[in-house]
Amino acid sequence: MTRHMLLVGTPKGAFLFDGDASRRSWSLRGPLCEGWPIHDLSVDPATGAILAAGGSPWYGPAVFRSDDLGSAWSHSSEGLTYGDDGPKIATIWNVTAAHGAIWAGVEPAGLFRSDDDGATWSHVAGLRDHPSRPGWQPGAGGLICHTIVPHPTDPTRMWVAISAVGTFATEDDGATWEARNRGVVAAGSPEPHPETGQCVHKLVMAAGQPDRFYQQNHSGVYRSADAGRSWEDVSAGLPSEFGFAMAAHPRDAATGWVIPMTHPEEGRLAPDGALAVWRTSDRGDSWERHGDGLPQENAFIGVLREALAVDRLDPVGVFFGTSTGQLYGSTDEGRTWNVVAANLPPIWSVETLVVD
Amino acid sequence: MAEAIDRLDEVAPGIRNRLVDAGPSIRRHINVFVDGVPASLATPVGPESVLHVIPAVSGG
Repeated sequence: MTRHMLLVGTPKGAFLFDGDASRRSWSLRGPLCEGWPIHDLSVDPATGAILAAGGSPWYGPAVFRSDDLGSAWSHSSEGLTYGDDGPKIATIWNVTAAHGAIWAGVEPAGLFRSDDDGATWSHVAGLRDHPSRPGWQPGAGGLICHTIVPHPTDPTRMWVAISAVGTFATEDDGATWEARNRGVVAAGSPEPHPETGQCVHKLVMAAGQPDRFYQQNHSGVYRSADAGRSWEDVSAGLPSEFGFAMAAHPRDAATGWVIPMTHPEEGRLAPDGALAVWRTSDRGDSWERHGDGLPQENAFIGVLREALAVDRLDPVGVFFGTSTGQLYGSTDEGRTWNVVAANLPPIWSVETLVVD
Repeated sequence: MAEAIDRLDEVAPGIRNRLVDAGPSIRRHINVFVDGVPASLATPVGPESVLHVIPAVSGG
């Protein structure tokens, strides 16, 4: 029997929603992970383990792990340090497992890996050794390595995104990294297209195709057909080029979803007080607005970068959480919506897990 | 105090990371006391000392 779960990260801990194949009926467990602030939950595809990453203001950063779908948890941060001469790590913003390793993106921006299921960690120094690092400046949310995208088949290749710095890629297992921001406008820079300084909010790979990417940036929605080496603005048709969350269809490389927000000077909120998810099915050439089932009046709501997720079923289920604690779901690829939960803490991240 | 925390970590592996940050230093929102007096990692601890490790209210 299919078990469909939603994994939700909040400043008050992790919350797990247990559902079935209908994706309309849910039971809630939480707060989990000792109520620690949890920025990201993900699933290790190799083991089925649930990983939860965040940091406690008292006890520091840690990655939590459950091998039984969220009943029992352990946590470790052994090795999650830049050393006694380095900056202190405030928290972990992303945890992603691939090819037998687990990766953690932290604040201040950097990358760590574990090769023993999260028990111990080592710093992937090549990223912070990039020659651009002296110029790295934090964005409004901090200097954060917030997105990790593994290559689907080659464990030596991956992409990461750092807020207010840009997208980087490695092809040698993290030893060296290349900035891949050509064509993306760097908001806040006197130079429109510097090598780094682009405030990428979210980076997604299109349907397992390692040459095709989309990004939601401070300055717009972009697409790439060359593994991120160059980018083309596809914001036309959206009510705002600004936003945080983005998701890609698991099988259709031309389909994806964004949730536009007003510009920072206008509050980073749903445009016109009407919450909507926008969908493209032609690689961003055009966008369709979907607000059926979402609040359309007086909805001054934000959706954060990690809080939009899709499942792999057919039709694809789409789920997102708001920074005011509402969780919405769609079982028809984002066309219509229903409320999954209304009274959660601010939602930082949403992920799906389907267990057959 | 540093050595006492290292010994504690042998009994409860991982706890040092919960109390000590890079530097090394006691984490910002953790307070430690030796015999009732605020302490740091360098504070001497004797065989009869009483140690308190208390999360500060500033942490939450």
